[in-house]
Amino acid sequence: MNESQSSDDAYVRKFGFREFSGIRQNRVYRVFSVGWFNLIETIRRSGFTKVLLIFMFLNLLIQDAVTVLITLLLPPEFMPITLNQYFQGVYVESVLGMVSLLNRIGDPLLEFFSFVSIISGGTSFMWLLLVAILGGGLIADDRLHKTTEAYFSRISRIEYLVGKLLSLIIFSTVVVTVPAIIQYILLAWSLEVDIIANIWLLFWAIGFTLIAVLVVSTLTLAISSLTTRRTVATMSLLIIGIVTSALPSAFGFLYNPDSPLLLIDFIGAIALLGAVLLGYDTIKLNYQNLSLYNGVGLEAGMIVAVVALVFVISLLILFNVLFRRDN
Amino acid sequence: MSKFYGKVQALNDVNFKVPKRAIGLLGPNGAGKTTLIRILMGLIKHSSGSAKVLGYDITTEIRQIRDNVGYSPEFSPIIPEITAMKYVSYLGTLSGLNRVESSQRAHDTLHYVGLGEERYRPLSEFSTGMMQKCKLAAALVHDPELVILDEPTDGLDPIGRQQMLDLIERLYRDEGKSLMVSSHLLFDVERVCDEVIVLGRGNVIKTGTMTEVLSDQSDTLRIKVAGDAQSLVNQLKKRGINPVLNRDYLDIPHGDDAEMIILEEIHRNSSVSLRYMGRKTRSLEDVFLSTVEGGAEL
Repeated sequence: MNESQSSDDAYVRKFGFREFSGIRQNRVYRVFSVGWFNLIETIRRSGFTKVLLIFMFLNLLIQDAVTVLITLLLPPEFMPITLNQYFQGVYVESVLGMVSLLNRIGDPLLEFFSFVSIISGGTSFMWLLLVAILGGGLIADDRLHKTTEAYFSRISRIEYLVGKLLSLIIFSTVVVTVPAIIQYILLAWSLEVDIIANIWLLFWAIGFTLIAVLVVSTLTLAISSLTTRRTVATMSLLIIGIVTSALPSAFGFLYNPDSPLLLIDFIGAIALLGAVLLGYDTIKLNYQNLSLYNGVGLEAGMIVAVVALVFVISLLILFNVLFRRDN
Repeated sequence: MSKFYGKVQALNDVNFKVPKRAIGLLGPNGAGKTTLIRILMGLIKHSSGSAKVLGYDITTEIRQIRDNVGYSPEFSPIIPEITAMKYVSYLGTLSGLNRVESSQRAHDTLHYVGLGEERYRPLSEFSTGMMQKCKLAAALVHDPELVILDEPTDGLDPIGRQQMLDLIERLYRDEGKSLMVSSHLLFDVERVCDEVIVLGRGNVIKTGTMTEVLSDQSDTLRIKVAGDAQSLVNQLKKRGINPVLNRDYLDIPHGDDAEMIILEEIHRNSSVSLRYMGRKTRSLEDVFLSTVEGGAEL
C-alpha cells in the first residue's frame, strides 16, 4: 500500500463510517424535502424556466403598477359606485384574471370599465406555462429513470405524492397567491381604502388562489404521471389548457353566452369558482352579464361540479398510476 | 409468503429464516430474487403470508424497515442532472437525516465507496461502475443495519467487480453491517456471504450456511498427489476402492477404513507423494449445477 492510499484509507477510517446516533426527522420533514428539492432542482436545471420566471415577476410588477396607475388616473367619482366598491371590483377582477386564461371574468360592479382582468390575464398564461414546464417532469422523469424505486424504498407513496404536489404548490403560491396579497396592499394603499374593513377580500383571494393552485397542480401531476416523457406532459397540459380556453371565444357564435358548454374551459371554470365563492349572483363573462342562480344555462353548481370533477379525476389518475399493486 | 403477478406465481410459499449476517440470494433469472427483495422493502405487496425484516413486520412496520435497511436496486434509479453528492445527500434526507447531517454523511459514504473525487460530477456522466458505487453510497448514507444489494456487480468489468466485492466484504467484516446480496454470479456470493438462500422458480431450493451448502453430502474423500496418480488409482482398485480421477484430485468414497488403505498404498508407491487429503467440498457452482440437474423446480 503506497502513502497516498494509506492516507486516503486514514481519511475513510476517520470520516467513513460514523454510526448515526442522531434523531431521525419526522415524516413532514421528509415530505418537505421532496417538495423543496424538486422545486429548486427543476428551476436550477432549466435556463428557460429561469428566464420565464424573470418575465413572470416583471409581468407581476407591471400588472400591479398598471392597475394602481390606472385606478389613480381614473378617479372613481366618474363611476356610479363608491370608492370601496371600486377597490373591491378592481381587486376581484385582478385576482380572477390571474387564473382565467383567455376568458375574461369581470365584476358586475365595474359596469363601465373592466380593464384589470385583461392586464392580469398575462399572469395566468405565464403561470400555466411555468407550471407545465416545472410539473411536466415531476413524475414523468422519475418513471423514466426509475427514480421511484429510490423514493419508495425510503418514503411511502402518499408521502412521495404529497411532496411532489407540494413543490408545485409552493411555486404556484409564490407566483399567484403572494402577488394577490401584495396587490391587495398596494391597491388599498393607493386608493386609500380601509385595509381592515376589506380584509375578508384578502382571505377570499388567499383561499381562492390556493384552491386554484391545488387543482392545477394536481392536474399537472396527473398528466405527468401518465407518461415517461416530460415534454409530452408539458405540451399536453399547455395545449389542453389553451385550446379549451380558446374554444368559447373561437366558436363564440355557436355558444349561448349562458351555455354550460363554457365549462369545457376547465381553467376558466376554476376562475368562475372564485366568483361563486364570493357569493356573486351575476358576473360578467367575456363582457356579458351571466346569472349564476337563475336555473337557466350555466349555474354555480355546475361550476363547482366541474372543478371538483377535474380534481377528483386527477387524483384518481395519480392513485391509479402510483398505487397500482405491482407498480 | 407467496406472490402472484396476475395468474403467474412469482413466489411459491417461500419460507426461510436467516440470521443477521451476510446472506447470499442465489438463483437464475426469473427465480424470484428481485420480487422477494421488493416485497421485503415494501415496494410491492405480497399476495399471502407474512415476513419480518430485522424483527419488523413488512405489513405494519414498513417505515422502520425502510429507515433501517439500505437498498441498492438492480437498475440505476437516478436523477441525471444532479451530482452524486446531491443525490446521496437528498436520499439521506428522505431517510430522515437533517440537511447538515445528510450532507456530511454523503461526503463520507462517497469517499468510502471510492467516489471522493467524482462526487461533484453529474450522475449522467457516471460509468456503470461508478453508478454501482454511487448506489452503494446511497444505500449506506443513513447508516442502515442491513444492506440489500441486488446484483451489485452487474455490468462491471473484472477490476470494477473486484473493487465492488472488496467494498461489500469490508462492509460486513469491518463495519458490521448485515448484508443480503442477490446475484446470479456464484463467485460473488461465495466470496462475500456466509449464508445462502437458493431460489428457483419462486421456490426456496436450499438454505443454510455456506459451509453446510458447500459440504459434499456424498461423504467423499478428496486427495491430491504429486507424481503418477494413475498408478495409485490402479493400486486402490485392487484393494476394492474405486477412486475417480478428477484433474489433479482423486475422489474416493469414504468407506470404513478407506483413509488407512490410501495411506498404505501411497506409502508403498514410491512414484507418488501425498499433497492433500480431506473431505470433499464443492464450489457454489457445483451446488448450483447439481440443484439444476436434480431439481425440476428450476
